[in-house]
Amino acid sequence: METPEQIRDRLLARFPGAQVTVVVNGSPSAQHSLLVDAAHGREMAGFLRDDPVLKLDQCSNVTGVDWPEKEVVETRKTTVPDPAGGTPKIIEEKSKRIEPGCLEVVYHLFSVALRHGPVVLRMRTGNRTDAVTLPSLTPVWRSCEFQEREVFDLFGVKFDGHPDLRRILMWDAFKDHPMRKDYVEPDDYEWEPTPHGDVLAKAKKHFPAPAAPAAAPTPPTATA
Amino acid sequence: MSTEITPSASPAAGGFPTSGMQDLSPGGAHVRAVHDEFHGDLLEVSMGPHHPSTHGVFRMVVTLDGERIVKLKPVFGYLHRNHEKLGEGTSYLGSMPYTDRLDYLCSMTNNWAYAVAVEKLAGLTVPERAEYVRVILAELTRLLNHTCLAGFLMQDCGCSGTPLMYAFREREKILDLFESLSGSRMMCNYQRFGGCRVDPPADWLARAQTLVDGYTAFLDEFEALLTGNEIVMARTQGVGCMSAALAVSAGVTGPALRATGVAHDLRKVDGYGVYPRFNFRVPLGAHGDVYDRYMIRVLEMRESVGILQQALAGLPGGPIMNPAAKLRGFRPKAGEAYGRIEGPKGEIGFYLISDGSDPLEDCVAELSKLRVPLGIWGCNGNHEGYADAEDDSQEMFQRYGMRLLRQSAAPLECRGGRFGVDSPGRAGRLRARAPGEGLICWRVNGATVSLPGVS
Repeated sequence: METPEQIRDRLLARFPGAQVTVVVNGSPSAQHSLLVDAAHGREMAGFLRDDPVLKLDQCSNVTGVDWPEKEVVETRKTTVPDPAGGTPKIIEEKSKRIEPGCLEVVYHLFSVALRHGPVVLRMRTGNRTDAVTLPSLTPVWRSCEFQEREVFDLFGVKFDGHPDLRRILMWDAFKDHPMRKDYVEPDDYEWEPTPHGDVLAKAKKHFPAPAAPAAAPTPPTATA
Repeated sequence: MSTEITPSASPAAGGFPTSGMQDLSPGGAHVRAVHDEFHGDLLEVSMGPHHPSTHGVFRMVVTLDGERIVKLKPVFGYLHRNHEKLGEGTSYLGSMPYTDRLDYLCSMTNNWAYAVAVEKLAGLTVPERAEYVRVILAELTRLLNHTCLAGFLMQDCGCSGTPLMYAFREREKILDLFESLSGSRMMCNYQRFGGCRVDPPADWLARAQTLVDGYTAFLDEFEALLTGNEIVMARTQGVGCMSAALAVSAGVTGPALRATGVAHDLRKVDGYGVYPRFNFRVPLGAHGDVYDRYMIRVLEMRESVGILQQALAGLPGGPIMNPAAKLRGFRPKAGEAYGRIEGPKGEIGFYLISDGSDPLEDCVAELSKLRVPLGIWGCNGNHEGYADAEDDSQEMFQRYGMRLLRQSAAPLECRGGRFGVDSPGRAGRLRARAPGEGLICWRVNGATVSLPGVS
């Protein structure tokens, strides 16, 4: 099978203006992946499926990865020579930078016809809050239908062009996405709002009530 | 399941006119008639989630044209446990018992697939004997799975009793073998990264040989009952046909894919383990219907018997675990791996991403920063026991200057009084109590703390 670099070069030649990067995998499995941009994602997927050299006709696995925003601390060491001729001082400068988070969808593609694979395809969203739409690859591989629904359900990625994008494992009224790293589990999934029980007290502690609006001046009480 | 009976390759159109039909979402009315100009009266029925033939909690919204299913929407999630989320919070080995529970027939192959993924991630090799043992157990699992599935098919067709009981009789024999090797009948937790947990002793291998020798006779009996049976043929031939193109696109694998005539068996395609050394054939179907899927499984069982004979005859000596594979502080470096094998039900793959850290160790390291005068004490949980990781956690605790109590106790001196810290076990408690000393007062996360002079 072609190397990821060869596939990248052919994709770039076929789709001018597209962005394809090879993401190097440092583990001994050496399954490197192709990071493609969302705008050309579906066309490139169709190309990978129909290309006679690759014929990636089977999409074996679709999953999501949550990369939360993380703070990276970089330490820079500078050596300052002592003017008095003593040992030079080493000054450490620490700088913090915020690496933006994103949601990533990973597709593992194989060829049943040519018996090779995997080619790992990845797409990333703009952020984790409002720009979470990616093109659906269900029109290319039908096996993506349920798996993309799962990624939508558990990670909150919206798939543009999916024929039936609904929650699949959690119930329809469920809010939030359980596989996100910052997901907070409810105190009790089966909680019912009764005035009794420890659960209510726990829930109150966990989710404090919104601050009450400023109290209106009390009207003068009428005297009888 | 839906792919077996949904008639169209296009998920958007559904293959037949949907005008006049409401979208079938979960939670709707249970039965309603829908008029459709091409199909006459269609009936929509919600089947499950507690229907005996779903073999688990699972609901289907089926649209019926007479007795024919023209559309089916599965509704999942009634037993969703999210093993992925659980896996994020435990060690690599700690996830192994979870893979048993993915499927109540194939724990051995589920273990193997997970082990393959971790071995790819960490670059571990497996000794030859362990590879042979894995093949033996995987093929026994295939016999177990296919036998039961044929029995279930007949049960669900309405043939209550005999075929399923014949299948379960054989299943019991295989489960007995699993039990005596791994200690558990269905949740075996047997494979390890870089080998297997226990070396099968000679008498176990002899028992396996007896079972394998007798299996062909059982298959002959089973087939005499079912394969040429007129009612079975009438109920299954031409039912639930699936085209090869749809099967590949929909990601169908295993016997269901091969029943459509696609030669795709990962034992041949990937040639993982020691499968390339064995001589076996891959049966293929021609029609992609229920009968073909039944026949494929029967023929595969006959091939499995052949593989088992070869593997039992050629089982080499040597270690069962790669000595370089350390359970202790097992930390693959950052990277990812997708590992897959041919399970009895088709491809089973695990996708792992490592960031090079160990969440458990991070937690222990955080705990070790606590400033407490009498030290920090811990004890194992039941998952450490299941995963054989008790030594590992003890070693990790020691590395951070903490102590893990395992059926043991430690005396402590504090303000002139004597404390005893016990592990949660009767033996430990007795050892901690010197004559005339305090009784157990409270339990802190499983460890009991006793105070002097308090009763």
